[in-house]
Amino acid sequence: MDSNKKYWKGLEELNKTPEFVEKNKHEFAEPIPIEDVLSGDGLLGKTPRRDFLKAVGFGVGAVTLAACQKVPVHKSIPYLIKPEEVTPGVANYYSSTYEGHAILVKTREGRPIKVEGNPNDLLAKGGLSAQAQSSVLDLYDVSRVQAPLVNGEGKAWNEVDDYVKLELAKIQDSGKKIAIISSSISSPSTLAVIADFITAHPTAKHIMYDAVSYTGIIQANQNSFGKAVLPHYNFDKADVIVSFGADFLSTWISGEEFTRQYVSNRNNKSLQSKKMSRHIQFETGMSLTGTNADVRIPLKPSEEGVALINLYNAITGTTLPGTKKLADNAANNAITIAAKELAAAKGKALVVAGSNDVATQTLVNAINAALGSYGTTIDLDNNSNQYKGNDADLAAFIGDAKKGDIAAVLFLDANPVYDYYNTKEITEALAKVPLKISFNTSLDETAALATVVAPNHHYLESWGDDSAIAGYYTVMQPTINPVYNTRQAEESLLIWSSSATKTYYDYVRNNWDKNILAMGGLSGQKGWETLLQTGFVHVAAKTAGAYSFSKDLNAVAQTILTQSTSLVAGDKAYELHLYQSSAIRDGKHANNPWLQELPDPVSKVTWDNFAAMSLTDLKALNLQEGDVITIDANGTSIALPVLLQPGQAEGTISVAVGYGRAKGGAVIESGIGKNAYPLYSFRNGTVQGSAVAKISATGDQIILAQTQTHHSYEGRNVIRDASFTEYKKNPYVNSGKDGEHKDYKSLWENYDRPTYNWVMAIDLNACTGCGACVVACNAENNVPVVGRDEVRRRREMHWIRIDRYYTFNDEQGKGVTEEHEIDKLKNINNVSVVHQPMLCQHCDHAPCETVCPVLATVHSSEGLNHMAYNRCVGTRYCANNCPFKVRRFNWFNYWNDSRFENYLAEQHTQLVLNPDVVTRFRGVMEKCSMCIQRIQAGKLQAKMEKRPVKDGDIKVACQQTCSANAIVFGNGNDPESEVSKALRSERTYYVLEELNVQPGIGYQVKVRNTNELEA
Amino acid sequence: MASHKESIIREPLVTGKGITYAKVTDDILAPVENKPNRAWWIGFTFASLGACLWVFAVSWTFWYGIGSWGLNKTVGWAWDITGFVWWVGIGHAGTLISAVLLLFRQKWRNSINRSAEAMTIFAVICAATYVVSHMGRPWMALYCLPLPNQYGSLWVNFNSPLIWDVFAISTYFSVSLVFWYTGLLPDIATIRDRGTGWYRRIYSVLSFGWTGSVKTWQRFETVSLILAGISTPLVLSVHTIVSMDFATSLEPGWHTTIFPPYFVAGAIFSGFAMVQTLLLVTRKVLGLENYITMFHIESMNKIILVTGSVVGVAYITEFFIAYYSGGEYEQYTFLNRFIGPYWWAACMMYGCNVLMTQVMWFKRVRTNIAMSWVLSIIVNIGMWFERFVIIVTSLHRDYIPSSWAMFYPTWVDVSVFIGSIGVFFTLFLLFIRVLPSIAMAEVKLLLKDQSEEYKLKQIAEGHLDPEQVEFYKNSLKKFDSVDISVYENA
Amino acid sequence: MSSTKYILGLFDDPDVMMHGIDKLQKNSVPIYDVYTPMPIHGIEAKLGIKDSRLGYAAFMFGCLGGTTILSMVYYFLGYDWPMNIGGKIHFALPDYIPVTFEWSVLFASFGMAFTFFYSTHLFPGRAPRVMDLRATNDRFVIAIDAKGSTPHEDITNILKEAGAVEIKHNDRKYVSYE
Repeated sequence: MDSNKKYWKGLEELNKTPEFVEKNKHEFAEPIPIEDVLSGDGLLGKTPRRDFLKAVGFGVGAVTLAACQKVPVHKSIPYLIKPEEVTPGVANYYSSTYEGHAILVKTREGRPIKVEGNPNDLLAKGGLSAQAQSSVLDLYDVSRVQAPLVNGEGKAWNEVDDYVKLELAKIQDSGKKIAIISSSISSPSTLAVIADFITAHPTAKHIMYDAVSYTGIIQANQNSFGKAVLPHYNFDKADVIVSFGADFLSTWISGEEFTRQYVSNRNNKSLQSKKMSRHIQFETGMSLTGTNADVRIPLKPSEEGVALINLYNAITGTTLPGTKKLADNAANNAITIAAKELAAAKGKALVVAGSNDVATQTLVNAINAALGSYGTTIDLDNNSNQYKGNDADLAAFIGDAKKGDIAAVLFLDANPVYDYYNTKEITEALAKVPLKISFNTSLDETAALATVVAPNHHYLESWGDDSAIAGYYTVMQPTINPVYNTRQAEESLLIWSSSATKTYYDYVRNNWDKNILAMGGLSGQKGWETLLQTGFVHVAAKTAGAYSFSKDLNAVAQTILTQSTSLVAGDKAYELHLYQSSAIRDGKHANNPWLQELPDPVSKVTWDNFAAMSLTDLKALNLQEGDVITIDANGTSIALPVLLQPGQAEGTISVAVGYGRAKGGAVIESGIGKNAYPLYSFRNGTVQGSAVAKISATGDQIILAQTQTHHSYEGRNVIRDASFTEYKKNPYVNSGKDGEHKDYKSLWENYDRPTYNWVMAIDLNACTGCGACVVACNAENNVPVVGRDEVRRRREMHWIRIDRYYTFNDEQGKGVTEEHEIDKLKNINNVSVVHQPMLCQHCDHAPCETVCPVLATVHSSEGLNHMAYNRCVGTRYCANNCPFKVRRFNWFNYWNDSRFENYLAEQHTQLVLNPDVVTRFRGVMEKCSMCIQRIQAGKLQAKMEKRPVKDGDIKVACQQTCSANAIVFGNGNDPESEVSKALRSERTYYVLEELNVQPGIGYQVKVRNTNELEA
Repeated sequence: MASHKESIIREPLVTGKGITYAKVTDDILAPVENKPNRAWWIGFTFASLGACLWVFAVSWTFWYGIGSWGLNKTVGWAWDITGFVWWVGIGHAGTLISAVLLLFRQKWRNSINRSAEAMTIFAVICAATYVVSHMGRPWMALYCLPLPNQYGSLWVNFNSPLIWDVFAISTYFSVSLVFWYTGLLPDIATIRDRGTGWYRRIYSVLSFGWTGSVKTWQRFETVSLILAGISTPLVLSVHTIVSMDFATSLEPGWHTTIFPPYFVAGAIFSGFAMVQTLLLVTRKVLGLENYITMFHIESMNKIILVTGSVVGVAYITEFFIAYYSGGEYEQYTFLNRFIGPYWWAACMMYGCNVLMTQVMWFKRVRTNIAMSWVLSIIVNIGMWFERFVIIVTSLHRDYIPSSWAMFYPTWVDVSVFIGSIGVFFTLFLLFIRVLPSIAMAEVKLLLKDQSEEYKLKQIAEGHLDPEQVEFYKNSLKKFDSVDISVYENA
Repeated sequence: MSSTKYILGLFDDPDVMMHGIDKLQKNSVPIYDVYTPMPIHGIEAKLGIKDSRLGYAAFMFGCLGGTTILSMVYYFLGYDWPMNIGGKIHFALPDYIPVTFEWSVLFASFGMAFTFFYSTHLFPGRAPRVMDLRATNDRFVIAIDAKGSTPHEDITNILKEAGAVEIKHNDRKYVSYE
């Protein structure tokens, strides 16, 4: 029934006042300033409606604007038309490539927030290094060069092009040389662009060099087999691995790949089939690889060559001229045993050396050839493209430049002013080059000297490709518009060589269409799109050929011995050994606060480099840890604090390069460590990192920012380890599972876990301690960076940490862990190391929960220990009561405090934050949540697909990035899940289980293949 | 009462000549009714400077965050909770003196209970400031109360010892305040009736209209007795609960069943020491030697000696149990107290608390004012270190060796602590200026038969056992407020 | 009749005053009240004042406090929002004993103290009803209502004989300010 009733809105309507009539003519009570908004003026208007639009669009708009050119970033406008692929709140993944690894880039609302490994990546199968994890932060680095510069002045790109083209034309006329200096480039398209540039400018030459060089291996392969390449090593095929100073699990060539390979012979699966590889490491300083070795022998740099000669002799039964025994009996013994074991494992053996000396590497080639490694553990036919640099080329360039022959130099991803060993020479040489062009992304030491800075894109803004291993091609695609006014270096080169192809995207497309796509069985637009989704093309590998070594070794041995003798330090001198630290590597990423705060896996030092020395030497010099000493070698000297490093060869000092950067970002410029590159020297055609050094104490003292200062586990039920022999006899050995376990009773019935029981298993035998998980966790969970001073106060915020414990072996080979007994040991260089990832154990009887006064931390029905930041008042009682000390307190407001601005609180760096995880305010406690946002996302996805969560659907950040697959996470209620299987392992134990806190994380006993040495 | 004749061998509780009810009032009210002397002003200047330092340091903490203290991921409590427990412990003496000694009819409490109770209240205030200021988000402190909140029906965790603490400390503070203030009413009425003008008006409001009628006094006494009765278990419960902050945790060195009695004994120990520190100065500065006599000083020293020894036994028990339990972590923690990096703190703790107080076995020490004062300070230092050792030395090396760390205080830590002492003394000095520092009504009770004058009269009257008289005379020798020559003639 | 409303006998010694009370009672002089600067033990019996029942009040308040907090805890943690806290049962009674005790004490002491204030009419700002200003200092004052049948001179004499140091005939009930 229709109603005839009429309702008035007010007396005005009843009376039909003139104002009411006027107002009511329009749809809205007040006119909407559409015209104003659209004409641009409206952006400044102050209507509430616009505020609403602003709010709606803010999340997406902020980033878009940040990535837009010339628009001030403090304004925000909403998407007028929503980009099809962006759904607020839903992440998009793009496949790309980082240093040859196929990766996935997670973007939210148009901004990349995390890098994840592509599970199908040939190299690491989804594992990623700490560097790759942290690379996303570099994208938002405010210290990047934000626009091109000519002579230090900001210019438009066309002005730069005009200027450069004019200059290049002049050089062309004069016939002088042009040099393109880059670090190793493995991208086929980049190499093609450079080739095109050289065609356009025939006097140009491309010089590749690496800050830490592999010229020695490349040259040795040239000398031995006529192939100037870096071979592809297969550690998974090696039963016996002997390494001479090669840190192959971390910094040497391809750490993640080698980790995956190496661990496959030592993880749970391998152990259960009663197989475990054997790894003997001879090295000077304690490297990450050394910590994982079954047997580790400290060796001075001067002894390395001698030891290799002895090994060669023992394997082949010959005696090279000049052979002498090593001074240390244990080392001699180890060489004999290593030779025996290697010979027994012929075809399944591998010897690697970290040296950059051609002669040494030639000898290694001879040993490997004698062991039949070529074709099995070493693949020369599917070679690695990761390093190609030639030290001699750069030296030649310097010579030319000093003569004034070079008229222009282009730096692409190269910073020789910082990392060339002879700073003086390179500076002098560059002073004579009139046109210096830098493509570097930051105003680093080299770019600061450049006439033209044409800043390159970050790789997440770029098109491109890569080929780390011959036959394996990965593609790079941009995931965001350029954040700053930068241009891809390749595009600049195309423009400057007046190429017909105007954009680098087209160039890459053409190159792939022509050369690569077909190899993967793809073609055309469809093929290209498939590629962008899969991320790579892998051509079936060529059969690796067996190579035999037929060169004369007498001269080689002579060179090695001469060099060894020259390295023997005299009285009061020490043998210096330079290495790359696991986090900072060659120093290119030194401006990355995540990496700076990543503790060194061995020393646990952050934010500094140091001089590692042995206890004997420290005692002899009457030095304490933290005393600053001057190290004098090769005519330069640097001052560094000393660090007592167990396992350091006596009479040696190890110093990490990559620190002491002078320019290139706010973090760097706050002063981090000292530059050790000048301590390198050029010998026998390559740059080498060993020298004789004199040291003297300065009297100063520095407190190193270490995250761990007690280094043994005091025999506690924290670490459990066993030898492989014991394990073979009894797989339960030392895990306590064979009846030694007490049945800890509960006073109450346990709570139900109706659907899920999230648990974790960590295999101590797989974990190499690299720390990639720490950075992955930082990126995933917005963990703040606190800086050196705060780490010194022991306040790092990492939710997951890697505890590293030394066991000191006494003369009888018995492990000693108790502090007071260690103090009695004379020699603390024979150490075994274990790495233990430690994170919130999500105890079922969580001691932290009981004591929280405000119920800010309680248990979920899925077995997780929750933390409600909003409820926390910050009494810190939970942290005190946590036996694992995994809770982290926000001592300061890390996100809004000028003291922490350089780390993550910069205007753009905050764009890297994961919007699924809140940043924590000061005064609240935080800790590992088992990536609860990922668990929720996984459950939601399953719910939408109307199915239960499958095993493997949800991967936590630390697990995902682990190349060694040491961390397994999943539903403990599902007996078939990977984690349930792992926890059923005989080796499983729980840390401090006698406290009956019932941790949710089970660890697997560390097994060492040590037995055979004693035999 | 009047019929009760006290034995001559008991030492007098009030000394001096010509002590009448009026003189008691005049003497005790002298500081309240007159302008403060120089000593007071000097003390007040220093104390209030300390209080200013406290305000500054606490404001600094609030502004920048708890990070301005020296705490770290391993040592989450240090000077803050040390200070908290120290102050709570000190507070205990007041209640003990007024409640327990009242139950035991120890009349010597009458002269010292008022200031001791005031001390309790101020010490608990200082402790409470730590409770709030040690929080990461003190502005959210209300979350610790079971109040409805924006999280729906999220309440507080009654399993947490910190919530027990909230209840215990707030109850303790408010009950102590009631006890103290009720006792003050008759004395405030006295001030009121002697005063004029606005002064009288203020005290009139404060006196609640007290008249001193028979019924009022009767109920007053009942209230005092029952409050004493329930304050006694209360005061024991408070430090028991404070000790449970540690005892119910999982930390080796904290997780100890002996903590409740051990902490209570320690609290009495430190509390009496603080009372001693204060009263020795107060009696001198305010000229109250006749009311706070050597008998009081010695009695308190005896309690300090006894409780100090109890604490010593607790220490030994702790070590024995750590050894006997076979608990690996427990054993390490106790060993670490001596051989670890904080050995010096343990030396301070055991040295000051156990070794130094043993000299009080000597009467000469007990009755020497200067030594008593120094020892009382030593005890307070020792007790501070006891809490420091328990908290920091246990935390800094617990289960997982990788997290072992050192604690280094910052200037803020130190300032908050020193400042809290300033706050305490400021409050105390103000108190002795505006309220009678000795309970007048209760001292008047003693006048009739426990005063020296009365006993002298008894001796003069004869009828007493000469041997007992001799004993009494001998006992008077230690008094600094007694003119012994009078007795030689008697 | 004179305008005297109350006769006050001021003593300077409690024992003498007690003696005075005896004397007055022997002479059947009704005593209005006695004001003393300190509690006098035994005076209640003499004046026939019943024992205080504040103890019962304290006990009841204590029981109330304990019950209140325990039911609150049950409501919070057992009924309203039961949670898994460290794997413990929802109503872990031993854990709640400390708070129960504290609130028993709190309620008992506050309940009793406020009952005392209420029954004795003590509250901040109440005008003090003082008959003699020295009664809170050094005088023990026996107040006799002058309206009684005994002649004022007799009362004065009895007091004098009993040893009163001063005898006052007050025209106003209270000498204090309003």
